[in-house]
Amino acid sequence: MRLSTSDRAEAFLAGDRPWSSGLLIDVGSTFTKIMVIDPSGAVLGRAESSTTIDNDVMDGITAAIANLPADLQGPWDWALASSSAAGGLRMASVGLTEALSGRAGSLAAFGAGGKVVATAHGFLDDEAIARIDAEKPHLVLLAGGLDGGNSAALIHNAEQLARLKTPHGYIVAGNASAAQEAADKLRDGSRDVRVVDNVFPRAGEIAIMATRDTVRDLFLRHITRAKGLEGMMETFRTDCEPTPLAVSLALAHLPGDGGPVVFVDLGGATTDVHSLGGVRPDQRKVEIPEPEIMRSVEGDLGMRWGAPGTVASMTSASRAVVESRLSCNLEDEANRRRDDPAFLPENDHDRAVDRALAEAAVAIAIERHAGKVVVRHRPWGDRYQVTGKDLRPTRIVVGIGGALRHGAEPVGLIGDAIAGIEGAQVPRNPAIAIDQSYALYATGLIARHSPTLARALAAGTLRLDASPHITPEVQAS
Amino acid sequence: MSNLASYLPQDCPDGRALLAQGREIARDVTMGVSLLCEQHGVTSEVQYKKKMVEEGRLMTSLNIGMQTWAETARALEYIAEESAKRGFRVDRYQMQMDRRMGLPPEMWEKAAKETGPMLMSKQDWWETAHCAPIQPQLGDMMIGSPMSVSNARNALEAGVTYIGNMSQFAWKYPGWPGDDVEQMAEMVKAMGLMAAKRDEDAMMQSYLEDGFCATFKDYCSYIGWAMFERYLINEVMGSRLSIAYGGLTHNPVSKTAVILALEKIKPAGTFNSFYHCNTTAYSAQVDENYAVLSIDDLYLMLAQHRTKSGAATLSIPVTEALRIPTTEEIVQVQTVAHRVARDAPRLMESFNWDHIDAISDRMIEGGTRFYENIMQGLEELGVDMGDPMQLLLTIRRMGAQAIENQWGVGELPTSDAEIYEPEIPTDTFLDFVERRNRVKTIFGANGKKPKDAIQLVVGSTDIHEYAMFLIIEGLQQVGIQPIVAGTSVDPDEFADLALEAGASAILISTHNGMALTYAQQLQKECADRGLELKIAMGGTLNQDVEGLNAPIDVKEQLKEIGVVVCTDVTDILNLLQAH
Repeated sequence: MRLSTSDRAEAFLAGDRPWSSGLLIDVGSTFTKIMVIDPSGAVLGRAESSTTIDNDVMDGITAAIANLPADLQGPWDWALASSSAAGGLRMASVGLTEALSGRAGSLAAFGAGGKVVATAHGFLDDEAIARIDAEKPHLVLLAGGLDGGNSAALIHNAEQLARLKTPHGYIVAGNASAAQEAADKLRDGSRDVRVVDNVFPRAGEIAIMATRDTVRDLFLRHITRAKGLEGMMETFRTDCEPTPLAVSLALAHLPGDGGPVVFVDLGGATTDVHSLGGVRPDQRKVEIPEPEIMRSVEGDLGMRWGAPGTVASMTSASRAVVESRLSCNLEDEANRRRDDPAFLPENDHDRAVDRALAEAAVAIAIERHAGKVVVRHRPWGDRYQVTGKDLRPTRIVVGIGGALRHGAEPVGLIGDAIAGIEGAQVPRNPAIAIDQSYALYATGLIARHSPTLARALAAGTLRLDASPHITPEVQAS
Repeated sequence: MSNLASYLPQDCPDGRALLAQGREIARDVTMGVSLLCEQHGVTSEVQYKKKMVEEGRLMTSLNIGMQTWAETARALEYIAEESAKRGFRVDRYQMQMDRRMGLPPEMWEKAAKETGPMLMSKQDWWETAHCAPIQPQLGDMMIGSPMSVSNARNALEAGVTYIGNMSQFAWKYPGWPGDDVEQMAEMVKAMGLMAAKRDEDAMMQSYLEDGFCATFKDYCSYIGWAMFERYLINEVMGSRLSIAYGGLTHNPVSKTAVILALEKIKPAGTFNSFYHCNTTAYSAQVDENYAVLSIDDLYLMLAQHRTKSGAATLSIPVTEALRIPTTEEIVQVQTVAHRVARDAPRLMESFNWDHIDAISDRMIEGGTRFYENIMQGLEELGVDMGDPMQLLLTIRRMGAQAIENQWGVGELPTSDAEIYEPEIPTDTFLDFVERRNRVKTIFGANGKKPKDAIQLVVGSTDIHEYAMFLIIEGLQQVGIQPIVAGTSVDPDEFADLALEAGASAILISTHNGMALTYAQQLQKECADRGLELKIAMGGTLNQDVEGLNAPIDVKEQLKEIGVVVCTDVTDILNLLQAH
């Protein structure tokens, strides 16, 4: 084993400097995954091991590398890495109104791969500051005010937020006319304060790209050190970005063209949905539109910690169907799984319950992510309004996560989940794939430097199946 | 397959089953024959129209609705006699009834009374078709209302065969405890009854301007919508549609073009009901109104003659802008119409039909695309295109504006801060353009840009958008780029946006009939956010009050609670100067 690389990845991927092998690393919360690829995008080998964040993440990485064939155990030409270990990137999002700058900020934080642990809006008081502090955010995103609009809130909130103990950095993404003044209030020497484009610059608009890039940079500079990732970064001469951000960046590099792309990441505690495209052409000015690349995190939907939330979110009708089919009490089953997050199904019954939970979590997460008609009853009449992304023409749905990788027929599961959703603009006849080889984070990591290579990797690793439950005739191109 | 159209409730009733129920009811219904039809030896108005068209007769119609049915019947008798004395006869009338006719009788007492008669007994219904030899059309508050089934049944049994009104399907009936699902279910049942009587010439009538067309900005949308209504009535529900149109168009040329288009897209063997003279160009100058009337009559008679439409010309008394017309005034305009009808045929050849034909062909071309867009759009929503409940509920809940903004053939807006740009603008839209130019001139001449940067939020409480665009235009003339909230904005949404914008005022156009409630709610939302700013409101500043038959004016109450009341868009100038 020789843990070294010849140069940084961009030295090879941005130009035409020849190389023969690249190493991709994802330090996940439970498992560390690695993959070695060649210049054609073919996977030469992959392996995994338990994450060892408590001691030294390099232990887990080394163990994973040891599982590779001897000829792939280094050195490599380059390496790229992502991490969601130790609770991921904890972010707080502060806006002026919950529905407008507050929502824009949260969407930006999610989009940057953050775990939004606290939100607040309005003119923050001491109680709000204490509440945010208690969640120990790594980064705080401060939004508020249209460009040229309200500046008092941004400045007031900056003053208040300066008192927070834990953050490594602040991102000011509010009213451009007040952002510098707000940033000055936050600068007390030890914190990294960045001013970026307003996430809510004009009525009916959202801008998250500048925030995303800055979050990545702050993560790299400050958070990775706190998480003990700098050893890995030095050894392999690589950056490290939040895993959800890397996954999001893969959306644009899947096989085929046209139509939105949807990822659903079913975890033990939460379920993430990422989508590319599907933004409605007609937007209301008093709402925040969905960003082109959008990530939603359902904190109450999961397979283990999140199992009770999954059951609570099911309709009574669908619960009754599952309970009578499997002769079980779903609440009891969910509690069992919550109490033992390492629970592994041992018999057909457990497997069937896991499948039902997975199908429900996937369906509910996609339903919440997708557009729907919202009715508002007012004294002056009902308003039926379509809001959210129109994901009906979705080209591909990709399932991510252990529950899907290890399930018996995950493609069918996703197909069933989507087919069972009513009244939302969810994918209609997508090709469905499972990220069996954990290639999506790798695709996203590479995409930043070489879209062509990213595309080749995705094309080689994702087997696209038409769901037998949706449109059998649709085949992947 | 999933993806039931998201506009529908999970338990949407089966429209096909409701149609079948209506057909069942039809077994016990025997259609009557009106006095007019008896006199002409026919059994239905369709047969009558056919006969008259063959004879080359140009027909007329009138609107009527006195306080009671008894008064209305006496007026009809008088009109028949007086016309005969003057040497002509009126072919049909359409009755303007009290809205309570759409409610079950047990609710009549409690519900607000409106102008227009009520038909209270079988005898009243019977008399509608037998008090005078003038054929009734019952349009208002009939099919589409909560009382769709029994009203349709009573009308058919009396000998009324043109029954409305498809376009009123989205109307609301204050006091009716049911929801839109129940109301549409009643309508679909009644349509089953109408379908069962199709071969006896029961016709489902639709006056376009009573519905979505009043909101559409494009004549292409009018024509496409007429095609869609025909699909719904003829193909889906198995009845037959007859169109009426005209009140909101005041340019006789565009009106004639629309009529030609409507006649060209009509299937053979049926007859549209009537074409309405304009209701928007009359002023308090009664003598001038005679000119408006004569020109309108002439174009409508020429169109009737050319298309052999059998659709009667409906003239409006010249005093309508001043008061509820008297019976005598109705006879007066009928006299004008019949005199014009006598001269019309000899003017035919001197008329530039190519010009109008070309416009109507463009309307049909655009209308066909609009129709196809609607059909495709609904299908993409997952609507069962053969289920009338799903179709009616979806389009009702979407609303006219969303339908034209998404599927229209003009330039589509990308947000509610932009206006739909029609391919062939309606007269209402052209009026807006003219007002917009006037506002530009006034603001350009009088406006001074305030010294300090001033942030203003502008929006509408409902789907009405013209006034909002006039305000935007005016403000831009004085160098202010307002923050546009858009249409159908709720108080919490206004307050949120105003807070983010650091606005010093919110300028609101409202036509929702709840101006006071809305203003109070907005003030509360602003207070909740610690917002201190001016609220200015313009539009229709009234409020529906339970038990009263008309909304009351609330300008004074609005002033009392501190709202700046604007009666004209130029009042905004004062507001700016005060700043």
